[in-house]
Amino acid sequence: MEVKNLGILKTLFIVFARGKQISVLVLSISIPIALVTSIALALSASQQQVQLLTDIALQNASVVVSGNGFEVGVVDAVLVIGDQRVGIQIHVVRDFNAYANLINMRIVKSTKPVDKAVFSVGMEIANRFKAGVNSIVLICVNGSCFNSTITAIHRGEGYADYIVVTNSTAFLSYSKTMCFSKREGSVAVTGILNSLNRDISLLVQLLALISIAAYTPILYLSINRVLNDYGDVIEVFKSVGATSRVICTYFLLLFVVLSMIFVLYGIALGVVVVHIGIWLLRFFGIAMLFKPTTVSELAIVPSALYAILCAIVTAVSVKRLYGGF
Amino acid sequence: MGLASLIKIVRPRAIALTLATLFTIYLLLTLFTGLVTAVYSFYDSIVSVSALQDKFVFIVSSYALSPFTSVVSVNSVENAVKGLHGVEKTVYEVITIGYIDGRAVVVRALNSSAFKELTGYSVIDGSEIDDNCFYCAWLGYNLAKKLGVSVGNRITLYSPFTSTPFILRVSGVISAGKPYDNELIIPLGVGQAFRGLSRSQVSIAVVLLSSRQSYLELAKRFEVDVEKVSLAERVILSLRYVGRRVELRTYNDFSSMLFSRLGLPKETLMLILVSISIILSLGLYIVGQALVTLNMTNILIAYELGVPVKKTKVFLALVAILCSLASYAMALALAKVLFSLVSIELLEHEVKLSIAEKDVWFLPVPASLFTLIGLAMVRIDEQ
Repeated sequence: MEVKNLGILKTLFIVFARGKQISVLVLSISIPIALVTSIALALSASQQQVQLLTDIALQNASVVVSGNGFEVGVVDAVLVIGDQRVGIQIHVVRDFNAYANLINMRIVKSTKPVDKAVFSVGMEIANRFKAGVNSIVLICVNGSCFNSTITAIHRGEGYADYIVVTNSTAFLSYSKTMCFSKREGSVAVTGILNSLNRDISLLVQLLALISIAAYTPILYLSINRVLNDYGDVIEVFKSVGATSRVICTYFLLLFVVLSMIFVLYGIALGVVVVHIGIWLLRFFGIAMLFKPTTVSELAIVPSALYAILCAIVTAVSVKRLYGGF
Repeated sequence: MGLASLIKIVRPRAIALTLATLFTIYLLLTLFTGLVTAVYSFYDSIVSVSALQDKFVFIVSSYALSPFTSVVSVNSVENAVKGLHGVEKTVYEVITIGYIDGRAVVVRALNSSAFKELTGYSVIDGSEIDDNCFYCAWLGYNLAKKLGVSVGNRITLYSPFTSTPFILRVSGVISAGKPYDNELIIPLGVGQAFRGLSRSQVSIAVVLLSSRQSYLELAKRFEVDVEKVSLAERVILSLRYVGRRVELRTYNDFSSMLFSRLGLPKETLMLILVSISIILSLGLYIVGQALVTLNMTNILIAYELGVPVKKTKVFLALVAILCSLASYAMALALAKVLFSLVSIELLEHEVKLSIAEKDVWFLPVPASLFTLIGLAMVRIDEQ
């Protein structure tokens, strides 16, 4: 009986090979898998680029707002100089020098040593309103106004030029305390890159799924097409006493093996095509900075699922065409 | 041996398989092309001034790759437009990316009066945009909803170009149409600090011109060949800021290039499109072959009955072209419906998929050609 069953399997395979149906299975199995593989590979190149940028960003330190660290009282106020009014932020700190050091800020003009009572205005504010040291300005917060003398003018990176930094306790009651701390790497660069990478990855994964889904009806049609050619052979098998159950089991076995072979062929095809694509892009002057290296789970998982789908479609088709298991 | 015997060659099931396959391939090709087109034109949609359709708009940007890393000297632009007749207004903008509460958002900074003129925005909640409020931020309506913040809330905004955070207060929620409703608006000075620019530098300059003649004259001043750059009346110049001048330069610095592409990995999408085109072309080649192999029994019978191979192949080629055109028409119709229904999200912006008119006409040509090549490559006489 074993020999007879193996004979069935052998005959089924010979009928498939002679039936010139390979192109149909390439079309329905290998092509979508090649699509998913090429998408996964291209995405891996993009992820390498993101990784490099993240590594570059890690070389710099950045200041972040965190749960603990250097305490800063933040006050939103109106600064009045002459007849001009401007909305500015006041950072109230206990240790002016430590804060200056933390946010990379330096005093460019001052009237007295900076460890005393300091009211330092950012360079941009001072320039815009032509305010120098010793100028008296009016600061209004929540309806209360105070006269303050500018004791220093500072310059710094980014926002520092637009804020007032003081160690005066007069504004503390109006402030909201926030904690600043230094962290390795740029929070913004890594955050933005991860956010964009997430957007693009989701998009591309969606396209990979759409490709697979779009090919499902073709897979069903193709497998039906291939199975249709077995009509005469099935009649012969049945006439020599083979049961439908045995025939169906061997059909399933054969198509599972075939689908796995065509899935592997699709993965190989995808890899080759991506490298042809890189060559073509280079030929037209578009250089890929990173080469795709590994076939990630983005390719392997859909490929495995597609192979399972092939088995299910085969089982359904065999049952429909030649009777149940 | 007329047309009737030729028609009998083609099995309905083979036609169904061919149509379904071609439809799927065309649909995928159209979707991928639509996606790449949408992502490619994403930057243009951010910098372009859609509200001023009746004006001649000349946008000066330093890098065509991304407006987020563009640097343009205000003095250079002012020198270029100096004495030029027909210049109505020059608007300077800072456009960059910021990071806020786990999201990458587009940050735009410009003069409030210019913003009002360009967009005619309205304030939904809070106060009007104030150029002299250096702790204030205004959120586009959609962005405010996504971030779940309202007027009076404090937001911590991080810049990739500076190392300190910007703690800003939400002073207003505005409605200004696309793309502004998805953006964060701050005063120009704060925007320059956020982008790490001096007061004499911006990301882009939008020059509004009254006539085509002025537009061409300005293009000439920037040494741009308008005929080569664009057939349309709008152009985004690829210029590089060097020292205090704006020049046309080759873009070759590796690290700068990487950061310019901070926005989107366009070359990845190009690679995906090229790879997919190759794979789908291969699929079309196999469809062409399958059209013959699936009907081989009938073809051989017809051959035995005296129908020449050449005649059969010409007929099958005709069938392939008809199937190809029918599938493409259906795929395009479905794709256009999908494009109008579905949108993708990039940097909190809603991006609609689109396909260029020339691509619509071009796509079926190579696709049909691959199908016909596949069909031609099957040797019927050897059977």
